[in-house]
Amino acid sequence: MPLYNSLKVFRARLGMNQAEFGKAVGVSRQTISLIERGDYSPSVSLALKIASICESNVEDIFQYREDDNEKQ
Amino acid sequence: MKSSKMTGAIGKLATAMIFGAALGMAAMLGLLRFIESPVMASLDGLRQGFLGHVFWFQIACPLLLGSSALYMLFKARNLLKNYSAHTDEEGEAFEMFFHRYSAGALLLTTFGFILNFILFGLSVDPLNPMIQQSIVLFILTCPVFALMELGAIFLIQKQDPVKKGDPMSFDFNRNWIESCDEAEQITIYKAAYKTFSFMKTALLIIFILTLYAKFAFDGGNLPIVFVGSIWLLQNMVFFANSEKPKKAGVPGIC
Repeated sequence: MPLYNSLKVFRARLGMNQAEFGKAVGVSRQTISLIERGDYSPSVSLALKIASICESNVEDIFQYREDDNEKQ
Repeated sequence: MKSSKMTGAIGKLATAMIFGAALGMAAMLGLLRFIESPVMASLDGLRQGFLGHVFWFQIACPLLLGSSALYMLFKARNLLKNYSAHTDEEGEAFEMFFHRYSAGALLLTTFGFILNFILFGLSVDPLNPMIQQSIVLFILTCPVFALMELGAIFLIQKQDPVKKGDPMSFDFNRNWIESCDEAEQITIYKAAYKTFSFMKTALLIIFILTLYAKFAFDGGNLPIVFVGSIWLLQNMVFFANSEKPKKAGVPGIC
């Protein structure tokens, strides 16, 4: 899935580690790690919740970029 | 276009059926020759020897698997006791080792539990000179495995207090999965679907083996009925559950 994110940057701004951020969002530390690595695309509700914790917009944290393979 | 696709599918199906029938015939002929061979006589001796000493296998099962599971449980508990991760890397490393030990303990306990049942089933045989001891041992070891399984679940819940569910309750699976976050739920559902797909093939193979057992070893009709019922039940449960989203107004998958 061509979903990129800058969650790590936003989390660092809040001064939280993955475990603390996961607790605030209501998911496990592992899920936050998966999202940051781009291995898991969160649901709309989870993305909105993350954006709300980061006091930002979903589009600022998550970006959809088409892969070269998909364009072809 | 549609009819050519259908013709292709029928051709493939016919080829598979002819190939399967030829393979089955060859396997049956091979099996019949194998039954008459001296290897079969020595295998029967092995079976009699195993059933004669099944009590000792019953002792070895909890000793080997149970003690290994207990060791892993203690390792996981000690890790949790000394847990003081501050950075993401420390948290990642802790979770990796904790999961390795707790999941390992859970896996070994489940294996031990199932093996205990299989050995008990085999021990109720006239060839076993210690049937009564076997029954007592089975009654004693079952709670041990159950307690270790409970211990592993409680330890996982202690590490992640978000995980809910009382393992002694019938609602445990439902409560557990509801307390998992969306990524964990997807992992569980993926594992469940892969298990379903695997079991579809595995049950077909087991069913063929029961057919061979009936013809070659006088295995009787009961294994065929049992395996066939499990095969039928698994598919019925899957299709019933796949219909549930349709009833809730969501497109189903079948």
